[in-house]
Amino acid sequence: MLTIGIMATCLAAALTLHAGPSTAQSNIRSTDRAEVAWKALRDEHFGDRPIVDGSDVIALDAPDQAEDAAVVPITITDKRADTDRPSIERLWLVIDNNPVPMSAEFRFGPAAASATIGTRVRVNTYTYVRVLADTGEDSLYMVKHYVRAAGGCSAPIGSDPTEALKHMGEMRLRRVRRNAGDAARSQLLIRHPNITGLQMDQLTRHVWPAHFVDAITIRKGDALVLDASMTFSLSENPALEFDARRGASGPISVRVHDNKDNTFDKTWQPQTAQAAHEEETDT
Amino acid sequence: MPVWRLALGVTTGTMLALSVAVAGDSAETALAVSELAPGIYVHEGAQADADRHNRGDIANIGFIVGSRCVAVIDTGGTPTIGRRLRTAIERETNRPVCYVINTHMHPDHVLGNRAFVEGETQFIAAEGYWRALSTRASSYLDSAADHIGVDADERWIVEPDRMIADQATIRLGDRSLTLTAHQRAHTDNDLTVFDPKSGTLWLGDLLFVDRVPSIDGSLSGWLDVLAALEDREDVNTVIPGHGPPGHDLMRMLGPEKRYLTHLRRDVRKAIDDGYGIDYAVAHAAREERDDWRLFDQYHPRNVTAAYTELEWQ
Repeated sequence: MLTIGIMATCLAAALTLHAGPSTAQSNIRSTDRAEVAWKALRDEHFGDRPIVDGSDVIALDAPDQAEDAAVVPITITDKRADTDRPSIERLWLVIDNNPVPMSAEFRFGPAAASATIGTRVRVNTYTYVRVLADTGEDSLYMVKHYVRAAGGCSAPIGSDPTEALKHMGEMRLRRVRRNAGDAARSQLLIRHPNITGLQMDQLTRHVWPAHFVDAITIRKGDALVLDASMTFSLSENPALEFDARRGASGPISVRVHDNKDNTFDKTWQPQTAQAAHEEETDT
Repeated sequence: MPVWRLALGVTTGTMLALSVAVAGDSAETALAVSELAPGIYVHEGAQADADRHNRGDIANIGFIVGSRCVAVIDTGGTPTIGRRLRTAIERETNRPVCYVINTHMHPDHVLGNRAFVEGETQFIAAEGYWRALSTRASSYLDSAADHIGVDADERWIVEPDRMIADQATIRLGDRSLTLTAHQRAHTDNDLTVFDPKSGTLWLGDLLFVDRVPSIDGSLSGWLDVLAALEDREDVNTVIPGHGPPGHDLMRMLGPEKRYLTHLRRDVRKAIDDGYGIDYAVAHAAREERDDWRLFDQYHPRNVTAAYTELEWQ
């Protein structure tokens, strides 16, 4: 049952359809039920490597209904952390129906406490969002979640692009949690217009050239926390929550790279990083 | 469920209901307008999202009649609504429409522009309007097609003849209108219209009455604009973008200011306390829920917009 809201008085950038509660299956578009898009992607990216249900290995939290298709918060939780099972070495984030479905890839290093991460993505149309985990075992583990949202990739650039460029590359590191009682994690915020290249001015036919963060490397001291590559599926001003090992010493250093070959570096000295990490024991 | 508010006797004082639309959607059927002050005519849109029932007639639109010509302020969500507005104008006066003023680029206010392109009419908007509208045009047209069930096409999108960066005066003969462009607030191209002769302030979507405001610009900027508006003492009649017009500016601004203030307070606190966006969406300004129409449809988006704005402040 769709009670459609939108056209918009104030419809902003991205369209969102408001749906009432109903069963999961009935909200999945018929064209997506067979997961045809995924089958092609699967062959392209993972060949014939077996893929099995990953719900014991990872949890994917995403909204059923995105409030803003250009800012869809997702959290991937590592259920292998603190177990003696093989740990997650790599994660892939796939948004089946986005223009470039393979949205991000994360490789975890020795300074990662877990493969738990969070970010905000653009969702261009109703789609499965899926995460695959590689633990070094024979099979990959996969979980998926259907998200109803539309327009996130072609949504107009949120802020004046020339204004956004002035602040490009500014970064912040802070602590966030999803709910009271949850452990706080480090969150990296990066100022970047993250222009998709799909934001066309329909009347002048002007297309803003793609300009987005395509790689993020996070270290603690000399040790790698994670090395990530991504497409424009990340929202404007990308956010990345990560889980660095508490025992690892040294500053948190971040290197961000974009598709125009700009590089931005920032280091947070140990006392700051340490202070932030000590908070973790509070929860 | 769409709620119709016919513009009959909604406000007090000199208001006269001059024409009443019958249920019908043809261009010949004049839109129901009320004369809130001499020469100031307003049609109140439904307090709902655009759908097949209200046919996109959800915004307040209207016109001001001068001794030489007429200025239209916003044109509704489809050219049919624009044509019905033109029919309403022709009932009141035989003077030409010399200006169409758009208060911002949202489709419920501008997709009727097409009805006024013939003749000498000049289209005026605030700086930023064309960039904002043209980049969103295709999604607005798709959305009109989906939700209203009309054949929308690019001819509905009219490029303005003039965009105002700061302030400008336009003359209609015996009356002049002051047009003011504002800082980023509801959108990045909000324009207000003031008629000094009657003390009428046309606020566009800088003011929502009863319907929850929606943020497509800047929460902080909007609160700044509201603070500046509160100081005005020359206003006798206030026309919001949505909801009933009235006369007491301070009182009419109150609920919106409270909502936006609560939203800012709670989202800031969520950020300061280290909570993510989804927590803020679930908790911020929930006490406002019973006071607004369409709260569930727009409030979560507002929280997301506020969060991504405030986390960098």
